[in-house]
Amino acid sequence: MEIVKEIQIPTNSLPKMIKIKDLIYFEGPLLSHFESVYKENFLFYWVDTNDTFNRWIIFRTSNELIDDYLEKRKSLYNLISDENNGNLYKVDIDSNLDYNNLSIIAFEDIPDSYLPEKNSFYTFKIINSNAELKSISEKENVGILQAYYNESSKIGKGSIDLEILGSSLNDLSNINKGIRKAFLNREKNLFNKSKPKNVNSKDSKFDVQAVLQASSFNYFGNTARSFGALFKPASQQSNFPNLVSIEDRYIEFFMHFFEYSTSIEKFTEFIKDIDKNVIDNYKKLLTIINKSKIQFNLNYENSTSNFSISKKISYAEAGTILNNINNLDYDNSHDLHLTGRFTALHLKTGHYQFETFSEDQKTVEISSGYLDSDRKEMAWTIKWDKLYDIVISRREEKKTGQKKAKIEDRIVSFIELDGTLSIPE
Amino acid sequence: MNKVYKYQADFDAIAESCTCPGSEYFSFKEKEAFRFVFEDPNHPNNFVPPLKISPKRFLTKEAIEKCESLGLSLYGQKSGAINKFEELIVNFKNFKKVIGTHIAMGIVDENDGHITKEDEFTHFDMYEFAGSDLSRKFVIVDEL
Repeated sequence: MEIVKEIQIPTNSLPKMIKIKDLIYFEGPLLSHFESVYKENFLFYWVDTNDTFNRWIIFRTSNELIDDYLEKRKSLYNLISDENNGNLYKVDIDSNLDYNNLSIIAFEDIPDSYLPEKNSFYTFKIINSNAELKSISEKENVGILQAYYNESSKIGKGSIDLEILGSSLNDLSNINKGIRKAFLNREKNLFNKSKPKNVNSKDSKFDVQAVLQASSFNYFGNTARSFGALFKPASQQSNFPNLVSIEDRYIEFFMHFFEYSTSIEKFTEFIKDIDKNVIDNYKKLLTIINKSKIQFNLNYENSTSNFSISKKISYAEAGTILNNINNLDYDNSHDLHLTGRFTALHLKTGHYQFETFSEDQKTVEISSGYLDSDRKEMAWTIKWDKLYDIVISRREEKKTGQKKAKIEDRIVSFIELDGTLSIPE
Repeated sequence: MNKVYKYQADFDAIAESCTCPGSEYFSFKEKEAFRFVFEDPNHPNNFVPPLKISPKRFLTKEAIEKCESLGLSLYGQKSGAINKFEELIVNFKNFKKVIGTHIAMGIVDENDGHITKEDEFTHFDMYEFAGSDLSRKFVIVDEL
């Protein structure tokens, strides 16, 4: 190994650190992000080896610079040569992970063979840092969804501004409610299309419960780094090795909502069958991310099926998506099937309000609009204490620049059911 | 026939903390493979996985790292190996000291071990069976 100009210091001089993630890994770490107990960011950069040691250069950096590096705006050379780094350290680490020959080294004294090329931009596939998530998934034997914000002035290690937490969880929950409805419809359609015609209808019944449970999440804890909430699907389905589960498929669908929102074309196509109220909640979430200048991350890991997916939204990207949403232009119509009761009705105009409560989805949905002309003639038969199956034709229209979508509901069918409905107040 | 892995004792030692090797095996009969090696055919690091190379290049003692490090890195295509080398050498000028100076080619078969799926660089890991000796199957075909 090279002899370098250095100032030796005691091997316990570095602050206690924990590894956040490996940024470059080949048969072992080569560039790893660590964080000190004082919340300073350090990079461990491998530079050399001999029979006894691996040599590393350790230098301070910032979350912003690491993001710039991962987004290819800065090279590894830019990071190591940044004049704000302060001291750079050199350490020789042996097989037992003991630190030897710790020293301070000036950037200008680093040998050329210990420096990356100036064009050392990040070309690697971002390494999923989900070792912790994987082990939780393995322990729980289910896929685990983690939602977290990168650390900032408002987000600490395991702590978070209450307003950000409350609003984010509420928005995320409402987004999930809307997405799962669309997923349920998609699964139903797929099931009906693939159902063999000669099979007994009892044996080939669509399992609504399985889909609903797979797309419902229970909060069950935090991860240790910057505030990270952990969720697991409510379902009790068994996981099978290397077999993508229904929970995995739902998460993939859920993630596509976030992924496609960066492209107006893809997003317009994806949201055709999705309740547009979801977009209002998404806008709230994006506004928090953008205004608080924080990065939002979703990671999912299922160690049994070997399925993982992740999405991050930086504050800059949140601004772009908000702009996309403002420029959305769509005019979609689709039918909604609801079961519930009428809570208001104007016999002359046909204006109604209808409320449904779903035990399965634990949600109350309210629709208001007009009866179509045929239904208006029969409006006098409607009873307040009766249950109805109704079909609503919902038209959702939004023009570029409009802040909110215009939603028009029109009842095209109502059928009185036996029995009365008890709706929780 | 149940085969015993070459590093079975290491797998057993970490069995409580992780399932190792993972279950993502790709079935194969025989396959052309490439590996980074040193020119000296007797170099001790030529055909051993990272965990068996001294000094070990780790920063934490996580068991999962040990599991991954018991797989022998191979490539399905020479171009994949070269692309990976070029990607790494821009960032780590001394990396030849770790992986070697040449590329060797050989034919591996199902009796040598389990393999994982190839990634975008055609890289795959082989978890060798006891008795497997890839050094007898590989010859140097290029210099890095």
